[in-house]
Amino acid sequence: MLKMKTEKHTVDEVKRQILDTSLVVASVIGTIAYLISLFRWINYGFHISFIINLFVLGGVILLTVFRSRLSIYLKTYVIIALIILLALADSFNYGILSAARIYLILIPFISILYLPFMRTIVVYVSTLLCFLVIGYLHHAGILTIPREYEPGMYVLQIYPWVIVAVHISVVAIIILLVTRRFIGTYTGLITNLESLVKGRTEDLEAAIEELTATNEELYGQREELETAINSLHSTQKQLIQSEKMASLGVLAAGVAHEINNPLNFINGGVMGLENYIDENLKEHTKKLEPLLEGIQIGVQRASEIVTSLNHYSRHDDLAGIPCDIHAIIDNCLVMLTNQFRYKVEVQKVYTTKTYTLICNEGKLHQAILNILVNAEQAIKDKGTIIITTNLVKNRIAISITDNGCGISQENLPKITDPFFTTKDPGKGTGLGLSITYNILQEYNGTLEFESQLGAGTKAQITLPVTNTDEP
Amino acid sequence: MNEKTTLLYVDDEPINLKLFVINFKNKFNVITADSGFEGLSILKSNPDTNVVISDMKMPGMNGIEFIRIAKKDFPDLPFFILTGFDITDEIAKALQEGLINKYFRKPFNMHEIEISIQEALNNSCIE
Repeated sequence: MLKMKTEKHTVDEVKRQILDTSLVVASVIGTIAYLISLFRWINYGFHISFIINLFVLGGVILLTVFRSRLSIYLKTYVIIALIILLALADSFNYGILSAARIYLILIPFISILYLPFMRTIVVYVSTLLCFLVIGYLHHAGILTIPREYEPGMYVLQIYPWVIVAVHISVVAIIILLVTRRFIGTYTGLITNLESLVKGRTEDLEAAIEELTATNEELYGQREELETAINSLHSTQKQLIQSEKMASLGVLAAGVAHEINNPLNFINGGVMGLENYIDENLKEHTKKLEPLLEGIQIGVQRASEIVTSLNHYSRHDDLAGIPCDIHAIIDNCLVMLTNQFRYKVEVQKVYTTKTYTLICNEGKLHQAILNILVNAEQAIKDKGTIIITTNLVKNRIAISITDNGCGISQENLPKITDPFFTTKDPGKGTGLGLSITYNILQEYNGTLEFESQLGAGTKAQITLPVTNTDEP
Repeated sequence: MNEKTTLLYVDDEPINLKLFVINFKNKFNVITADSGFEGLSILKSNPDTNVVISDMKMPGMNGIEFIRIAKKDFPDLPFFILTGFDITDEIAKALQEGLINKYFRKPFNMHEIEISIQEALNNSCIE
């Protein structure tokens, strides 16, 4: 829209404005001039020129009134015709004493604005010839001027007509040339400017388009970067955890071997002692038995801790087989019957969908048992453990929710760290959930906890499954 | 099975060897070696050996390497590993190949070892 409006400020628009302004001026001054001329009517009586002048004035006023509705060419032709009529009729009536002859100057000026150069010359030359013909008619006495003009010798000569024609032509041609030159220059400038502006606008539009595209690209890149950073963050977390586990694995393997050998010494020694007492010191058995038993329990406990450490050092030694997760959970619950009795009420919501879970049954058993033991231990007096299984997007989700004491937000991220425990020394190794985490990772599973202090904890396991009956 | 079963125990720790002998001397005729190399030479000089138990981690030649060589000369002899480690890839592979009958964990369980040896010997008798 803006562009259309700018284009109207062209040479044509300026020409139209000149013409319209000239029309308004001609109407106003023409009316004043006509009213003044009416004094002659009072002094010398009526003349045909009053009718002609009124016709011309009327024409100009009509053009002025309808100037915005008429085409520029129609206005140009009509106004030129009216000028010719006014000037020639005046000369016809009043001869060389005509006042309106001066308007002949306007013909080339107006014509050059709107018509081609050659047509302007033709119109002007024809008008001038008509003017000279009228002059000859006066000179020859065929035409007469009103008596009150007192026509003398000079007035009836042909010579003053030529002088007037030449003077008018000089002024007219100067105006014609100057105007023509101005129009030419102005048009050139405007065209130049227009093409310049057009070029610049195109450049700007291209630049804007380019900027928009670049901007979009940048937005895309920013999104990509954000995604990359997020995945880097989670990879970093996983790496830190893996690194912890890996170094622990190396340590665990060494420690396991180094501790198991001395444990073997103690164990072997105790067995040897037992046999010896059995054979040779039967009467001391009663007193020595508790001592030996204490040593054996110590060895057994140390050995169990070392065995659990071994989970960090090996990974892919046990191939998976199809497992029934519900049977495994039920089996764990059977094992915990003693601990759960009179204390924990278990609610089970098992999925009925079919799927195949490939895992090591023993390890999965251990992983779930650890979580169940923790849930039971979180319950101080009496409570509920809800176990649900569900199939979500090719994964089996197992959630174990207790209404026990809960885990503080501070401790929540640490609970799968090896050796992290809130239990009293000797009551827990801090390895249970760490081992669970490790086992689940080995089978591409996940382990997440949600907990609220005083309200309970929800442990959420997911493991990949195949052959689901989901679409 | 009237005669006492002869058992070769290979371990680089002298205390382990000593204790093993003390604990099993009533059940088996225990002979010992402190490395795989010695184990191989003892097997050659005692061809009537009925069963072999070896430690896993030993300098020079580990338990599986020792058994792999020994098995060539004594293909029918039952071999066992007694290790301070948990199962490793190497042990798992040996189990799969039938190179060893079983692996025991340290600290050892006398009862488990006795039963396993008994089973292995019974099987070889049937064969």
